[in-house]
Amino acid sequence: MNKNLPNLILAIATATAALSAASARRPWREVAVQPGVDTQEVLAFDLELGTPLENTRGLRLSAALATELDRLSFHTVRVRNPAQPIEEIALEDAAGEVLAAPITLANELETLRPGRIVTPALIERAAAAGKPLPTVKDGPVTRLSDSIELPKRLRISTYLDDAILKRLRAAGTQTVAVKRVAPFTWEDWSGRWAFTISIFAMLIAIALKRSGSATTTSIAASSASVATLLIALKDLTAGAQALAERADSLDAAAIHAELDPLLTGPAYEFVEGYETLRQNLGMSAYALVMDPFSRGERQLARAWSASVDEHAEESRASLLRAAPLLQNAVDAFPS
Amino acid sequence: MPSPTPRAPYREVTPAAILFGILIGVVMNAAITYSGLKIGFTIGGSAIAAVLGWGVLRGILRKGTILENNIAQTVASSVNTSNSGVIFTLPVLFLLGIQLDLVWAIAATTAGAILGVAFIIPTRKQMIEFERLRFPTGTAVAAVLKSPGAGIQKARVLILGILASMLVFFFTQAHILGLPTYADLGIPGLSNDVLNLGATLAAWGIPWPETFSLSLAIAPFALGAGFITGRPGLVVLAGGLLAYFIVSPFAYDWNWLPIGTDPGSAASVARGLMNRPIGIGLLMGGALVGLLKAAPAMTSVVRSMRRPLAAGEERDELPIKVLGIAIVLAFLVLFTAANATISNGSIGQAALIAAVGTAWMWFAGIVIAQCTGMTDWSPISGMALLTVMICLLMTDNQVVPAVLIGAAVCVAITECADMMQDLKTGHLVGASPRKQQTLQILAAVIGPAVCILVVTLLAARNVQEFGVPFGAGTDTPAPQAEALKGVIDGIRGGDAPVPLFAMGGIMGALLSFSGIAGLGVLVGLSMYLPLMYLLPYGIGCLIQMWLSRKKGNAWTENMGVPFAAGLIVGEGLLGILFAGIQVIGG
Repeated sequence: MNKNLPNLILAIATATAALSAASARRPWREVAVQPGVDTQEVLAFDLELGTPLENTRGLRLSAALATELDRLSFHTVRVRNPAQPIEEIALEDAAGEVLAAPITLANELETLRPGRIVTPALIERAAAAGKPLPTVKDGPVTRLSDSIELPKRLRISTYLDDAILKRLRAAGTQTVAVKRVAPFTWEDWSGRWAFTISIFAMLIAIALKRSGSATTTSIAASSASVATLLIALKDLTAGAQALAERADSLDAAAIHAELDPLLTGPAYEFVEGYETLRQNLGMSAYALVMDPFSRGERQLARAWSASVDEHAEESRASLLRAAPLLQNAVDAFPS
Repeated sequence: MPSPTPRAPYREVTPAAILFGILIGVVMNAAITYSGLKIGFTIGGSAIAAVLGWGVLRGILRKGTILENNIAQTVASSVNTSNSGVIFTLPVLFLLGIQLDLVWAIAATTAGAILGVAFIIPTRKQMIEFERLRFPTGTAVAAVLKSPGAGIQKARVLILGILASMLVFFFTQAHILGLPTYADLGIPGLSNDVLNLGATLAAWGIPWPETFSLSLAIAPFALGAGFITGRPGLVVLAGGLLAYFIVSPFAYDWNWLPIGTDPGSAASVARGLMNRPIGIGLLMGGALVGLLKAAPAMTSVVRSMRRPLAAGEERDELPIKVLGIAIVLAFLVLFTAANATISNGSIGQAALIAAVGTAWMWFAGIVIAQCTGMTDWSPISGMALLTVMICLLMTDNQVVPAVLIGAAVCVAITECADMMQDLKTGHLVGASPRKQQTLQILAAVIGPAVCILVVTLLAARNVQEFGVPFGAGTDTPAPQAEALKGVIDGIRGGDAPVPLFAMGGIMGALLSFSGIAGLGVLVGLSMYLPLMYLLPYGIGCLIQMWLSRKKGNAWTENMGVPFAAGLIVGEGLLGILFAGIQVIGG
C-alpha cells in the first residue's frame, strides 16, 4: 500500500468533515413541496422557472404556491431557516428574549453631550423625537455641538431581563420585536451523513497510519537514528565532563571557547532528534532520558551565559552540575 | 587564566532587574492597552524588555548579566501581558452600558493572573523539556539575551533582522507620523499593512475568484515565527488553506452564508460563522486528547515536585504546596467576585461559576501555552468567547459575572502563555525556572490593576469628549470587545454555535490520534486565525525548510534563527514605539 494513502484519506476526510460541519450554519433548509398544504415557510431564493415564478425569494409557501410548484415538478424547495428571524410578541411573553429592533422609552430622557459622533441612527432618533440636532463638522466626522435631550432608546440585541421589562411596561410598551433563531436539529442538518462518513474515513486513515506500514510518516520525524543520537549524547557528556575537570585552570573566555562547540554540535544534534527518540523509545523511556538531559543542558546553558558575563566561578560550578546529569541521561538510555 | 579571587555571586535576581522590569512592564502595559483598544490587537513585551534591558542594565548600570536581563524581561512581560486578557473582555461592559465595578474587576483579574501562572508551572517540564516546543518568541528573546556571547557574526545577523523588520514594518504605521505608507504607492490591493494579492492580480488582468481570499499581512514577525517553527508549522498553512480555500468558497457557492453576502466578504463572514467555531472546537478537542496522552508524564512531574530533595539538590519548580495555596486563595477571590456580582443567585451558583472558571483556566491555559509553543499564536479572543459563553449559560445570561470570570480566564491564559515563553527563554540561557516562576507570580498581580485603571480612565475621558465610553465614534473603538459584544448578543438570542464547537471537537480529538504531534491543535488554530497572518507564517516555514536543505541545519540555526528572531523583535520594538507615540499624541 502506498504510504501516502492514509495521509491523503485523512486530508480529504478532514476537509469533508469541516465542510459538512459548516453546512450546519446555512440559513435555509430543504422542505418537501406538498401541494395544497398551507405553511408559514418562506422561500429563501428565487426559483428559476421562467417568468411566472421569478422573484419568489421571500414569498410564503402557501397552498397555492405549493400546488403551482408541484405542477412544475418541484419536489423540494429551500426555505428560510428560521422562517421569520423577527417576531412581534406580547411584552408578558418576552422574558429572556433579545430585541430585534431598537425601542424608544418615551418616559425616560437621556442627555447626549457635545462631542458625540452623529451617526445615521442618532439622526433618525432625533427626527423621531422631533428635535433638530445641533452639529458641527470635525474633519471627516460630524459631532454634536451642544447638549441635547432625547428619549432613551434600548438598542438592538438588548436582553430582556426583569429590569428592562419593568422599564418597558412603565413606558407603556405592549409588544416587542424579538429575534428568532433556528435551533440545531440532527434531522434538519443536511450534512449529517457526510460528516458521519468523514469521521469514519478519518478513523480508518488514522488506523492505517498507526499500523506498521504507515508509522514513518510523522512530520517531525528526523532522519537521525537512535544510535546516532546516543553517540551525540555520549560525545556531549564526555566533552562536558572533560571541560568540568579542567575548568579550574581555565578563565571565562577559555570556557566559552570550549563550551560553544559542544552546544552547537552534539547538544544541538541530540535535541533536534528528540522526535525520533520519542517514537523509538516510547514516552516513559524517553522521559527518563530527557529529564536529566534537559537539566544538564540547562546547566550547560548557564555555564555558557556565565562565561559570556566573565563569571568563571559560576561557569565552573554549572559545568560541575551539568556533567553528572548528562551521565544520568546516558545511563537512562535503554540498552 | 582562572580568576584570581572569588567574586560576588552571579547576578540573576537583583533589585535593579526587578525594578527595571516593573517599570518597563507598567509603561508597556499602559501604552499597549491604549493601542490595543485602538487597533484590536496587542504586542508581547518580552523582546522589547530584553532589548531595553541591555541598554539599561548592561549599558547604563554596567552590571547586567544575561540571567539578570532574563529576570528583567520575565518581570516586565508578566506585568505587561495581562492587557490583552482585559481589553478583549471588560470594555464589553462599557459597550453594553453596564457600570464596571472597579474593585471586583481588579480582584477577579488579579486572581486570574495568579491562577494562570500557578496552573502552568507543572507543565514546564512536559512542554519545554519533553515535547521540546519551539516557543518562537521565547527563542527570539533568548537570541537577544545571548547576543553578546554569540559571536560578532550572529549579533550582526540579529541586528540586521531587527533593522530589516523595522524598515518593512515602519511603512505600515507611518501614517501615525503623517508620513506616506504602502497604500500611497498606489499598487492595487496594497493597503497600509495588508497586500490583497487577489485584488492585485485582478487589477493586472489575471482573474482571481473573489471568494478565494489571498491577503498577506505585512508582518515580519509572522515570517520570523514561521521560520523558527520550521517544518511542523506547515500544518498551520494547510489548515488555513482548508478554511479559506475550501470551506469559505464552497460555503459561498452553495449559499450557506447569510443571504446577501457579497463574494468579497465571503471569507470574513465564513470565518465568523463557521471556521472560527469549528477551529475552536478542533483546538479544544485536540488539546484534550493531547492532555490525556501527556497525563502520565505530567503526573510524574507533579509527583517529582512533591518528592523530598537530596542534599545539595535544588528544586526546578516552585513547590506544589506554594502553588496549592496560591490556587486556593485565588479561587476564593474569584468566588467572592462572582458572588458579589451575580444577581438573584445562590452561593452555590457563585461557587459553581468560580469552580468551572478555575477549571477552565487550567485547561484553556494549557491549550494556549501549547499553541504559543507550537506556533507563537495564542487564540485569546477565541477562549474569551468560549468562556463567556459557558459563564452565560451557567448564570442564566447574566453578563456581569460572565464577563468578569471571562476576563479572569483571559488574564490567566495570557499569563500561562507568557510564563511558558519566558521559561523557554530561561531554559535556553540557563536560568533557574524556580526564580522565574516566583517573580512571574509576584509581578503578575500588578498588571491587571494597571490595565483596568487605563481602561477606566479612557472610558471616562471618552464619555467627556465623545459622549460614549468606547466603540464607534471614539478614537478607541475596542474592536475585540465589539466582537465579543456581538457574540454575547448572539448567545443571549439563542444563537451559540455549540454544535460547531462539538463537531470541531470530534475532529480535533481524532486528528490528535494521527501520530502527528499536535495536529488537532494546529489545524484548529489555523482555521481560527486570519489567513493574512498564516500566509507569511507559512512562507517563513518554507524558507526554513529550503535553507535547511540548501545550507544545512547548522547554518539555518546559526544564521537563520538570529535573523528570524530579529524580525520578531524589530516589529515588537517599533510597535511599542508607535503605541507610545499614539498615547502621547492622544
